[in-house]
Amino acid sequence: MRRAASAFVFSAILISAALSRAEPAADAQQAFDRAERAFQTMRFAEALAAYRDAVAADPSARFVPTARARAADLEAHAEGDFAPLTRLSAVRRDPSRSGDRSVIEALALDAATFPPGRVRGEAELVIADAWWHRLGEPRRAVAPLDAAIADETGDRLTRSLALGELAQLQRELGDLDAALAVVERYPDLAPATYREVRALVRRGHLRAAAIAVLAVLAVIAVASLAKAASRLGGIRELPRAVLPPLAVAFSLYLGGAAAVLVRLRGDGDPRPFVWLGLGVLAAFTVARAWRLGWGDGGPSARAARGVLCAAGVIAAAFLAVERTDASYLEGLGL
Amino acid sequence: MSAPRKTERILIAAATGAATAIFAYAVLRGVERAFYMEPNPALLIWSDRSAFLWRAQVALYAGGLGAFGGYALSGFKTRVIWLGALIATGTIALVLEAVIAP
Repeated sequence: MRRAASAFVFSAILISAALSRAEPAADAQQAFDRAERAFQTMRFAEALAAYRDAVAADPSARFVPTARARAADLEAHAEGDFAPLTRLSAVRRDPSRSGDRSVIEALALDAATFPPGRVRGEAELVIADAWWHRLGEPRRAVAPLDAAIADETGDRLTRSLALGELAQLQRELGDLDAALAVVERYPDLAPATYREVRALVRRGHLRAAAIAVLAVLAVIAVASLAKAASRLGGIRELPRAVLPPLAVAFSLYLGGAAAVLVRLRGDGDPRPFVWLGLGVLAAFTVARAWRLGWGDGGPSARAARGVLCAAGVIAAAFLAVERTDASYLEGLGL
Repeated sequence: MSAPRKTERILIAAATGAATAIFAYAVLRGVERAFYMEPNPALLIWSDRSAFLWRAQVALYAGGLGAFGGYALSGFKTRVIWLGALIATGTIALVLEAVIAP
């Protein structure tokens, strides 16, 4: 009888201990659920308080990391007593509203009055995204992106994202100089974007130089072919005279064998090599026609011919790569 | 001095191509060891891309280019002394590669 009474008392102690442990866990779960509901319905101040309560009630609960992260995020967006965040979330959470012109225009007006903080920059990003992608007016996205980048109270990640977006937008609009100007204003904000845009500008200059070299060679080729034809006594003699079999075989090998190698490798683009082979063949033709049309000339003339034709080969190679698969240029630092 | 006959030119081209391929292989391997020290994927996972085969293919391609150059150069009425120098250079490069960067 005494043993049964002892067992009863011991069990009662265990149950009451378990109940006393379950109480904070239940409180924490209730607070977390309350916070989630408040968050979903955009009552952010209430949500922040409830997340804090949940963490305080049971720091070992499984949802505590989530609650902590949500609370930290809300604290970082608390400017203006959450009024700007509520205004932004109302648009951001509804895809139909973020594609509505009048809603976006109203948000832009409100964003201009937002206090300093993270929400202002994020609102500008939402506005820019709407103008660019949803409403099809990319030029109207420039101003909000500019504002998001210039806002030093905004989050650094948001600012660098805005910088990348603006550089991409200017490129799409065909204004590479504007893209360069914006990345040069903030070189440390998005270093990868800075390097990418500078490489694009450099490639633009090289492309212009390559086209100029090929244009000069084309003019020389036409004049030389005409002169050579008159010297040889007719246009029918030209192909055999300006295209020696060795040059044709070399060019075919240069482009064709390289293209086959790239295909065997399986992950490259063979087109630059094909174009390179054709470019070399064209340079051979120009050099040969030049010599046939105007004579061999002295050492300086031969040197000039060689340098210009070599420049033509380099120009053709650059354009072949740049127009087909510019990723090859990145490996060369271009 | 007369220009070599066609058969001789083809032989000179073949020798030039072979020497160029050997030189190219040594340079490729040296550059790979010096600048692209990555684990061989064949040692980590199964791979159908052997780095050796790729180097050999590129070296053969370069040898083909060299053969064209050799054929063109052999057309000049000069002694083919450059071929000996090219073979010696290719051999030395391969030996150095085998000793320094195998």
